[in-house]
Amino acid sequence: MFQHQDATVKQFLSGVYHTLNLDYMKFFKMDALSKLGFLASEVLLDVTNGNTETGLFFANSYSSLDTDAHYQQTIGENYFPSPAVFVYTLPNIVLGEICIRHRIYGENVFLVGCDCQSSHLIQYVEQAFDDSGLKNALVGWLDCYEEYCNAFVMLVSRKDKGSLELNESNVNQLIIKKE
Amino acid sequence: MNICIVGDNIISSLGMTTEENICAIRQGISGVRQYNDYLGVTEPYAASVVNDLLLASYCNTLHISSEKFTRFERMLMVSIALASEGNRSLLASKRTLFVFSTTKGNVELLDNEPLQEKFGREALFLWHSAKKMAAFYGNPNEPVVVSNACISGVAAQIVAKRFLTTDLYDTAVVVGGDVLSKFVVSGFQSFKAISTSRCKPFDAERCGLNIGEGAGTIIYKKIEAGDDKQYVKLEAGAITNDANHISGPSRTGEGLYLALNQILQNGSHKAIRFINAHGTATLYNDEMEALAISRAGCLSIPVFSLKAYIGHTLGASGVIETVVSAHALQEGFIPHSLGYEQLGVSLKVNIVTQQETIIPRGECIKTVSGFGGCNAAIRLKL
Repeated sequence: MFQHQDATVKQFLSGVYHTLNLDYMKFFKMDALSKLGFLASEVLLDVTNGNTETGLFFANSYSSLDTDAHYQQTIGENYFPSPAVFVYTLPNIVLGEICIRHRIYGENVFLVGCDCQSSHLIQYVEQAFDDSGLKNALVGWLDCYEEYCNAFVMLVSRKDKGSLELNESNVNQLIIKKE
Repeated sequence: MNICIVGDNIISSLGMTTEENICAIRQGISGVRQYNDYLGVTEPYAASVVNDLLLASYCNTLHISSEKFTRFERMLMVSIALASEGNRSLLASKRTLFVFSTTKGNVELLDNEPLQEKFGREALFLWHSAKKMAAFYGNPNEPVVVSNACISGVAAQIVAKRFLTTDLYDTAVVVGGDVLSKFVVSGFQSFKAISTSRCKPFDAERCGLNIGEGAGTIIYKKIEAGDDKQYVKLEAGAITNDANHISGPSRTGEGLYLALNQILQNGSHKAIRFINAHGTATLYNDEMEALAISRAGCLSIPVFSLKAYIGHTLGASGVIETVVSAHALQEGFIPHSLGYEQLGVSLKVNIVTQQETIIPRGECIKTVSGFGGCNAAIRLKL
């Protein structure tokens, strides 16, 4: 849906933002991880009026290391710690950004693992649907560090009543990969 | 089937065992001190720091080498060992899942080339650290790592509970931890969120948090209803979001109110003996919590914060403070909310002004809130 050869991660993310015709100034304050997750959610979710039945479940391998490295530079020899950068030195902030945009009050969890399988993300989402009133969930892998970014996000919905079936008909997918 | 606490440990400035910590709390002893020019931060701040000599001594006894494991890892590993009371086969079982909670792991390695050389750059990955720690205890499963800002410790327990409802596991070892670093102290200072003296949760004169470090472990086991009378059980949990701001708490306490509402659904307010609040002593957090507690109809329930005893231990706090709650239920007391003198929030929350004795029975609630607008609450029952 969007391709940009030879772009840096920053350029790529801005490119997607403009392609989607978004008007959300907060985007430009976000770190790369939050921009990545935010854009994925823009494609897959609608803005709601206060939603407690949608959950957000993400995982990655780098945690917030990309932003951690940026923040570290502000407390070196030139000591000027920035709260605007520090707040993004936590991987779950991307969940907060998505919740704010889409007015989601529901469960939000960030796991860290070597890869998606090792993070136990999918198994956790299945259990979360099983024992709660969750109707939808944005689920995915959001990893980025310097010029590497790898995102795979899906919107999962409960089909009718009863248990959830993770299959093609109720999964919308977004894949972003850049190496 | 109930999810029961069968083992626990707290490591903090108050001591290396749960007993030492509970004993100190019951005596109103605080481990918070003022630090000047500590960890490369020149601006003074109040913090709660683990005693390195004690930590080294335990590591020695447990053969946890400082050549192989970072300070962060050693703290968590000692906590796991003490919580399990030497039950190595339980830790090594295929049916035991490790669930870690941390906000920054080995972040102190970021500006320390010698340490990165020693432990490898891979030590910066939270999952790598977790794997190393679980492997030391012989556990064959990939550990789960929850990194959800300051709600991580409670979120990890909710995650553990969900995994225990599957057929794969009977036991979950929930371990939370974070160590003090220039990274974290400077960050909170940039928000002007740290006090230079012992913090005063919910108090009119409160002026910020005390930064802390520590580790906490809870071993949860699935036990048949009927055989579980003496154990504290994890009855319910909820994680929510304010959907308002990434660093400031909601002005309506939305997320925390929803979380409280959710866990009180199946129970009665009357059964709740106390609420162990997040109570970081920042202007906004405590006000938000008071509002959420009021909206959830819990104004008459005794409330306390532990932050003046052991500081805000970040990834460890949700676990450590749940251990204190469980022991408070079992020993029949409600801790004094240290640091509190005069109500400084706009709702009349029932802050515990001196230690109370209660019948060791009933339920309690632990709440947490964190950056990213996240909130969580759990309900325990004895």
